[in-house]
Amino acid sequence: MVLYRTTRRDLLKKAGILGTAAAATSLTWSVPNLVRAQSNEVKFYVRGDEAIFGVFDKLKEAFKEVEPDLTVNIEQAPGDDWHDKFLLKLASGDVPDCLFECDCTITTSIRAGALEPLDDLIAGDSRFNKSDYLDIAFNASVFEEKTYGLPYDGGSLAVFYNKSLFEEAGVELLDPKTPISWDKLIEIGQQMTKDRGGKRANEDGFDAGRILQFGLSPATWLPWVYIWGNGGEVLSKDGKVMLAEPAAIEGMQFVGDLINVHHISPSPQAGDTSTISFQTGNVAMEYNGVWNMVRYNELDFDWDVAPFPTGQKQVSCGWYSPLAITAGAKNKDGAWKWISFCCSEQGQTIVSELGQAVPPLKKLADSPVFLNPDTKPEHKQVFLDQLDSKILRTVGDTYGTYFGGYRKEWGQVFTPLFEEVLRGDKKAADVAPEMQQKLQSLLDTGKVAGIDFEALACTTCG
Amino acid sequence: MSTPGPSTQPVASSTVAPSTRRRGWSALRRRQALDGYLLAAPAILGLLIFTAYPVIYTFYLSFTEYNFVKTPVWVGLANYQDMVGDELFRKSLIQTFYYCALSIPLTLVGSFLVAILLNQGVRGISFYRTIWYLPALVPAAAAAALWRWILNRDFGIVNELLYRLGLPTPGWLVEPEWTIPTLALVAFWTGLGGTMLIFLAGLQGVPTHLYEAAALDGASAWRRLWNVTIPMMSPIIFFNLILGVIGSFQAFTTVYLIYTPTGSGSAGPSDSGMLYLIYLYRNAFQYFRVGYAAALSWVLFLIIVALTLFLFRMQRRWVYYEAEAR
Amino acid sequence: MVVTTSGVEPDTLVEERTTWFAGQRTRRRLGHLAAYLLLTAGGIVMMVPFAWLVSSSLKSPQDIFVIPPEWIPADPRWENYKEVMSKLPFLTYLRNTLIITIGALVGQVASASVSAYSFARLRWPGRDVIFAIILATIMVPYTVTLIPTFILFKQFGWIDTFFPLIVPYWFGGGAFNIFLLRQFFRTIPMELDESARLDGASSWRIFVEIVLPLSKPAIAVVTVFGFLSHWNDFFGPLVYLNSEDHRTLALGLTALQGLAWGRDATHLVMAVSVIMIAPIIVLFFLAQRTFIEGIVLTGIKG
Repeated sequence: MVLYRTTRRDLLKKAGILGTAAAATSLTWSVPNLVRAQSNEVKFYVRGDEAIFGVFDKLKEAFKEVEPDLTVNIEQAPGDDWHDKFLLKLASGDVPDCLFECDCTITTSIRAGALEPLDDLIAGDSRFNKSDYLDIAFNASVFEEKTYGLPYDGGSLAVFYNKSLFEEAGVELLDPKTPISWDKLIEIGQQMTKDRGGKRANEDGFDAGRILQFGLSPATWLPWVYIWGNGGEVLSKDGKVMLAEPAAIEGMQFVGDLINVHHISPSPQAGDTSTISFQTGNVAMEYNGVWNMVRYNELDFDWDVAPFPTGQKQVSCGWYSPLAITAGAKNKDGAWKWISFCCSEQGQTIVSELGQAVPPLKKLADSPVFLNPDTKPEHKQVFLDQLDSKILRTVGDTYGTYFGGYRKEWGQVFTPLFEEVLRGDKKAADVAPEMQQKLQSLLDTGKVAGIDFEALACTTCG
Repeated sequence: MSTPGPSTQPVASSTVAPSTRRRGWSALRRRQALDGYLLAAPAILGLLIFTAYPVIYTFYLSFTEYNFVKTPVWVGLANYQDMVGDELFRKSLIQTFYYCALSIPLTLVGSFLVAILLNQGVRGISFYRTIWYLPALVPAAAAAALWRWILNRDFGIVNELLYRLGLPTPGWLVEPEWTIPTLALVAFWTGLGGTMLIFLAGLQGVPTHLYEAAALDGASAWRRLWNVTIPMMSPIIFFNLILGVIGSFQAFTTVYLIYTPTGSGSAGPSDSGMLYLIYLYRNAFQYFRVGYAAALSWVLFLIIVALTLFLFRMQRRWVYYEAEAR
Repeated sequence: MVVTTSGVEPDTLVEERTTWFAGQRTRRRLGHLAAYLLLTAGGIVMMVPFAWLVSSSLKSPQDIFVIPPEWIPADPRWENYKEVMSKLPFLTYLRNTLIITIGALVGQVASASVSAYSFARLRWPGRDVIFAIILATIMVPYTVTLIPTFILFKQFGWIDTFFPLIVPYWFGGGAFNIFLLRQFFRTIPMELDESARLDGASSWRIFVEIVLPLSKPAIAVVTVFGFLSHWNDFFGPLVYLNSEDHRTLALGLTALQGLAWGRDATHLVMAVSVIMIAPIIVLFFLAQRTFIEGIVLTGIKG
């Protein structure tokens, strides 16, 4: 007993000493962080996942040879909250020099005063002649006639499909040239959907409550394309929200019906958990962007792409996400060197070869750099066809680039309401008036039901 | 709260009549007071810097428009007025109250019952106690990840079990009406252990002679529970209730992580998991409406104070303090 | 057990009593049986998530989706743990978590016990008022203090450092802990202090040599609760830490899920969760006896 006591006391003593030491070290450890950035360093903030980070690592290696004295410090921000974190960094005075923006958030950054206009730099650099670029390349970067970014990755979306699952089900592969109709999409989708007992969605006794393989992941985050495909509009040219018009309602309802009537698509939350996804192998078709090629390269099943199905009319969708420089950048010069390298012909060749984009430079897009026959998918031409300006639509192409600058906030208002349709709790017709009213208020005043999104304005102007 | 519970060991009397002491005591006393201030200094400083000042500053901010960068602009009561028309604020209040109404009783009753079972003099009590306590050790981030997987609608084990039993398989994380029950379930799993330990400690302090007396009177187990255990435990139930209220109103992490694994302030299907703190966090750190968030904090503070005071009022009716009976 | 009462024939009474006790005993046995059954059944339910966690962490991405699920993976994939380490620097995250936890914990235990000692055993004007105020701050939601504290730390240039997660705990260590320790310290007979004082001992010596050694269980409770709260904290790091190499385990766990994006990483997420939970469980088993004793003795119960 006595012995036991002594050892324990010793132990406590030791623990105390160790603890104090650790506490002391922890304090010193934090200090280097306070050291300011040096001029030969560029701090680059990157959203995304492993695949995207991998591409930037390759770019960084190549950049080292061009600019050996400049060190690019890449800060990875995986996760959906990367943009909130970015703004929070700015608010707390920890400003990266440049970042990989998203077409879906850039206007929010611009309104917060976070980004530097690049017009002068672009004009003074012979590599960036806008006429060498695809028409939509700079769309996301331009706000109130200033350009805030260089097109980095993106291109069009198409239907990715799992050839192995198609063959297993004995379903004919999709045509790379002619899009199927929406009815045909549902038909194929049902053949490709299986419940727990192995029954397909078009068979009797199919149990819609326990589906283990889905026919189609329809990009519920991009319902606009179904609205356009149905002949509707999201916004009129003069800034009126058109979601309560019949064509738009039908388009939204179509997406809801894929889930709740035809049972070929997973409900959005079930998809979010990524247990049901194209990559996992339990979704036969997925409407998604060209940039997913970089992720799908290593899949162990065979896959290909096909054009977006035709509803009332043939449409397609696409955009580019930019690299941007922050207004508070300490090393603007270095930041420009880095982002212009990534978006230059040399950089874009690397990005495209790894499969992250249809290069926004016309001459690269239509070349073996992109149309590499040695890598999947076989029919990469589909992505170029989908970029045809006759059918191509892009978010906010009718009015005020990117929903009048409220793209991110638009989503926060629209999504909870649209989810009710996706779950089948309500019809699109029932929620459309509320969407219409709230989104119109957002566009006109920056406020929705008590939330003032303008509070963000100029978070970083000081 | 300062009234000693039934099983608290007698508090040593600290009042010693000064007159019985010899001279020089007052120097000792002065010395002691100085030591007292010195030793309490960290706590007092902490109170001033990390509580009092922030509470007052938040109060000031709640009357301003502020975004962390620009100088706060005085807007009077505007932030409080905005709450009236704010649908999400209303929703967050409703959902938070619903969450508390479900999760507090569930955890309290559950942990109380388990503590009573453990207190039956069963052998291997320490084994069972550990088993029941273990979930309380799980970090909220890991618990959210784990339960997202367990409650996965299509591949989760809960729905697999329900399916085999021929029962309906709900979309725990997908259907809005399941949101709050799901959150309460996770809170139950992680929250039961801590509360149970406190109950158990209390139960072990209930004097056995009371049970023996009741048993001799022929009281059934049920009556003994009702007439001895519950009254004797009422201060502890009350204590746990207060902590439960304070804690549940501030629930955050599970919701923040269970819907989108990477966290985005997502509030579940159709914002059905919009708990108060999620909304507050959104306003402060996503919309940068710091003034509004400050006002929301103060409203939450007032709600908690009001509820606590209300519970303290009510306690006279049901909480039994041995000290009073003496 | 023999009860004798005058006026009544002892034997019959004893007999009566014995049968009564016998009935009581069977009833109690039945009660025990029911208690065992309930405790075991419920205990299994409480443990199932752990089993599922470990099981999932040892599966391949394909096996994760096998329906009906396998409880014991036919071919346990220990590589999952290695893979996770190669994807993100979890050792760094572990180090960060330890720095924060220990840094905050030492301050918390030290300052809470020192102040509790002062509140419990030293007499000074204003003591009880200040203690009451501190106790009342339990009701203050952490968000009320969050924004100004954030601004304060921002002015110090402490955002994205560990300071905001450590320094505040050196100032009092939390109202609840002060309360808990004070309650316990008050149960130690005051005479000990007084006689020591008469022998010329300083307040500090009394604290270190008399009060602390007698209060191990209470200190253990504060330590275990403190360790848990820092190790498990998500909100603090979420708000204050934003660069990659300052992540804690909890933030690393969410980052890992972000890395995968669309590809299922459940097996890896479960592996990280195991890594996060295991040390706490080990610690708990080590501290269990003192901790439980502490819970019983501290009179947490108000």
